[in-house]
Amino acid sequence: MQSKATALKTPKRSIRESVGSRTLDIINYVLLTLVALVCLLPFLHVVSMSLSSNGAVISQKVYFFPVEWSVEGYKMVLNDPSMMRSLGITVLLTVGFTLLGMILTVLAAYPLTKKDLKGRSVISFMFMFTMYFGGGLIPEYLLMNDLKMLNTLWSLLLPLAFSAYNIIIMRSFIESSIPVSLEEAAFLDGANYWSVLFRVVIPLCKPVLATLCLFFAVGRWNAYGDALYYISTSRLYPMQLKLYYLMGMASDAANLAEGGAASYVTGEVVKATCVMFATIPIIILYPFLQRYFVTGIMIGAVKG
Amino acid sequence: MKKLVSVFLALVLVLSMASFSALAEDKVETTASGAKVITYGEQIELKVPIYQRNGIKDPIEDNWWTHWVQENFGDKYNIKVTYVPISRTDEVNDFTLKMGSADTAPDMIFHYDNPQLLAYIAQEFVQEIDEEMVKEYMPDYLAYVGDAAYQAGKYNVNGKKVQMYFPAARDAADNWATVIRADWLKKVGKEMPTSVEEYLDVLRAFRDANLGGDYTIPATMGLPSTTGMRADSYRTGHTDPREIAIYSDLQVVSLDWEPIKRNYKVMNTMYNEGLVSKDFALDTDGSQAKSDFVNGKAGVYGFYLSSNSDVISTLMENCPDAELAILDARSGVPAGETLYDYMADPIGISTGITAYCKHPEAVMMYINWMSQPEVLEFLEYGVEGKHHTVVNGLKVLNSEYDGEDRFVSTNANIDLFVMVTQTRRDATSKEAMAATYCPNGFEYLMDQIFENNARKTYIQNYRFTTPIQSQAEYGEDLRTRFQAISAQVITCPEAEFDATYDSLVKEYCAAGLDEIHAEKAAVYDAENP
Amino acid sequence: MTGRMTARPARRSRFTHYMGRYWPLYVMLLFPMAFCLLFKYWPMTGLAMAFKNFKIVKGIWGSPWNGIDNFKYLFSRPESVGVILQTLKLNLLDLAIGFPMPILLAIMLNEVRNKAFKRITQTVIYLPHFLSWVIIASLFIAMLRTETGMLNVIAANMGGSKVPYLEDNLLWEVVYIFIGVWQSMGWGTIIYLAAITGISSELYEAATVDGAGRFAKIWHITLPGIRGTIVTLLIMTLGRILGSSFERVNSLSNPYVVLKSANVISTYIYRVGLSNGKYHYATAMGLFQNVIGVLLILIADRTAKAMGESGLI
Repeated sequence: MQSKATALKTPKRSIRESVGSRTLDIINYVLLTLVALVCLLPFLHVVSMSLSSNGAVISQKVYFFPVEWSVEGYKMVLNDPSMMRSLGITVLLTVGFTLLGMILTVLAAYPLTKKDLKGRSVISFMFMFTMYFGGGLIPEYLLMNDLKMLNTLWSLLLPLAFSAYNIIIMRSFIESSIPVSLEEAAFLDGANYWSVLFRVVIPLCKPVLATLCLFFAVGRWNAYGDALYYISTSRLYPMQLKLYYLMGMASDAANLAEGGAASYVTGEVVKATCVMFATIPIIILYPFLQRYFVTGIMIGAVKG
Repeated sequence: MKKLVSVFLALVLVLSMASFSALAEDKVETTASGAKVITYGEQIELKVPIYQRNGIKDPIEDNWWTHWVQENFGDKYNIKVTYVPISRTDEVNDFTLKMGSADTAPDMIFHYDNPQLLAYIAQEFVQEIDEEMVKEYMPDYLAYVGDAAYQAGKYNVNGKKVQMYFPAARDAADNWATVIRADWLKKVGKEMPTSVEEYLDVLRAFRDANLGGDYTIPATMGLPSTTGMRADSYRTGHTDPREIAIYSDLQVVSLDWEPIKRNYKVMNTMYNEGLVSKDFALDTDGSQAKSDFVNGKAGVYGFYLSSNSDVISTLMENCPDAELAILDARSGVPAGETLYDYMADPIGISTGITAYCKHPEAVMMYINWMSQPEVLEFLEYGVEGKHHTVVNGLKVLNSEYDGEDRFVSTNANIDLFVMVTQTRRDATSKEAMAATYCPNGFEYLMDQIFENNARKTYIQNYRFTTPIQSQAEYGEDLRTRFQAISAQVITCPEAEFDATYDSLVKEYCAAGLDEIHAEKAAVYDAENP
Repeated sequence: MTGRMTARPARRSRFTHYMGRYWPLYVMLLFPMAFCLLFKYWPMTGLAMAFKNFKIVKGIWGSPWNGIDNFKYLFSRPESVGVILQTLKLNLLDLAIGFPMPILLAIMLNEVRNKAFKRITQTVIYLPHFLSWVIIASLFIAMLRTETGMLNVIAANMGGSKVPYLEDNLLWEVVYIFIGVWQSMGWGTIIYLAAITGISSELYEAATVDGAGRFAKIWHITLPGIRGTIVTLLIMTLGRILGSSFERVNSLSNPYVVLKSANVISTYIYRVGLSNGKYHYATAMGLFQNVIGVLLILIADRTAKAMGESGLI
């Protein structure tokens, strides 16, 4: 596979490679490396804090390398069953949410690409409108209560699964990348809209499907605002809500004042560790989805 | 035969239902302490709010301790006690949302601060408390908190003074420590300062000797907070109760009050002479000040003492020669003036019965049950050998204990018994506080805190019982303006201080402070004819 | 009379014919529409709060109407115009710098031929998106403080002078925009990279055969290939021209800028409304923000269509 790719590339490069092109490459690599470094530094900072001693962290000696190496934070977090439980809930939620979100998005986006569909612009506007107008926290909370979804995972799964933004992205991708002629051909072969959607459109939309999967998954993974109000059973807390409570730095001081003998104030190291613990699993998702970005290039081939 | 069996079964069913309904009557009794209690025939649910602070321990609403409450209180009276976690960082929003419907509303609502308690009344979140019922159901509570605290739960509603909340007890237990590097004092050959002038001299000496290296910060200073900017020490000549009621406030700072301006003037001097960090205003969470002190760069630092505090341990790691002493409180007062200090309200959190609650008597029974000495003591201290050890006759909490019945909340159960008391009753003597709050070897700090406190003349803030509308309206806006003004007046050149201060304060007054003062004056006069 | 009689069945048959062809599309739309109505439109009744003196125990419909009092209150305060202008200013700067960055980055990434380098770079530039504003702010503030910030300490050691990055309002705005761009640019590339992969590779091959250089290919193939996506995203961004993340502004704010550069609509709403439970002020301001946003979108959509783009609606 690897050799094939290079074999294809090499002749092209040797013909077209000019000094200008090579300079461009060098500038490009240098700039991207710089950008990547700038993006990596804060992360290194958090990683370093999670691997340092608490004293070093509160002395602000830790920048981008661990000081007084220690894995105490990780031990504490990994030994806490409630942390593992929250991780499990978040994974479950994320998978379910992504699936549901993708189904809704595909079902909404595909019909809206049909220019002669009556009511198309009304429905489009209706969807788009929800991106900017919402009832706000109180009516949404009351709705969850009326639907008896408070304190259940449904409250985190359903309301946000409808995303007008993602629908619009999907629609514009289908419009710009899938030639009408391809669908027409399928119809001539006796296909109907359902089979065209599943046999032609979806296979050709892998890059955008991968992108939207990522948007849904990361969106759900990182969100805690809804859980903060909808979930009041600690056993159902998703990871990020736990993190939110841990990060409540201001409340630590208040806690000391109120509680006096505060026995369990969370150390900075544990906080940093929890950030890593909550972030790494979702970051790992990306490389898995990345390969679909490459398959997209096959569109031309299919068409031919 | 088949028919007979079914008739028999039906009969049994009817009979058993009849006997259930006969049982299903409430049983009224009186406890040994004279409290009326009801054993409900049909189980009722009591929804009790509890602060959620920290996600890493056992569920705050479902753990060994809540089960203990269910067994010892709930099961006894056929009440299902359900704890409802309330986010401590976002409690007003959380309570407000839950008050949107009867299903979600807890039976009680609580808050520490008077303005918010008044706001809950104004929003009709709480129902009036029947004082006759209180006498019947709550003798233990009344005995425990005392009449003065109980009376603080009375508020002016529609022109009548009525009981709206159950205040909890709070004993003066002060674990705030402002420490100075005693070894630095020795190095510059100075005594402990006893006036603000001497204090500034000491700081100048610290600065000139560069005792903390290149970036020596003689004293750490944070951006003033509304609760911190009280100018207690500059109140000589300003202690008239009416003046205190109008000008001294924990939420809205009266920048136009002379004591406050004098306090800012000193801070301005400290800034301009390099006695505090130039970056103090950017240190919004206090982490910079903490790091400066534990790194040995700073000479003075204030924090809440606790036995496992990382402040002292990290400082001793970084600077093994460091010696600490509590800064003499007189360092904050100009020579010859009285050392005033603010007296914290003698009450803890106030708990109201929410508008939706159908069984106010169950709320009363719950609070009263928790006020009983043996119940409260168990919630406070647990079991000897597990949750606490006895040292010199004093109960000292053991923060290491990690059994299945470990304390869950980060403040060792205070969140559970907060409706009754804020402080563990046994923990207010000097010895007890030293054992509880001081790291090993630093118990002398508590002696010095007590010495300091003995020097103070306390002034109590006035507690309004009528809502101050303008304060609710402008409070947060003024708080933001106050922060912006603080940074400006502290950092301006000394020569421009007066002009800068006066012009900014004029704007601040127009943005709502004048209105608040006028309303407070009118309300004060109405409440104290 | 007869004309009408004959017209009817014809219309009906046209309808049945139409439905006969398109019904599957409507069936597909049913599920998302139901979701949209239940979870988005049903709570929108809450918008009524903008015209009410809202008290939660009375419920939305039980609270008394107060006409446009909430709007009057919000706009009668002397700072309100300044707040709107400041929001616009920061958002326009964000748009001018933050919007093109992901496009540029995506194109740069697309030009990278070393697969390992490409993958690692891509993954790394997404990282800032995963950190909360609280964490980002505490790190940047520690780095940018005037006296003890890492940047200024290094500058001072090298003989430079100290720069009050966070205290000076103009510099703070630069920092604010920079951090925002930094936080979102990597994540923003994803969508453009996906769009680029949708471009037929035949086009590139044909261009190569024609002897086009790399710049020419970027200009004539890549950019036109993702133009639809760019326009769509641009229009959607315009709808948020008066919105700004409370968390981002609030966590980066400090006393020197809180009433000047960091005084935007979201923090203003918090100060005068949300912090004391006045949800109706927040709703009213939100309504104002979004009406302006949607108007802008409609204008932009028309303009885009006039220019031959497919637009949003």
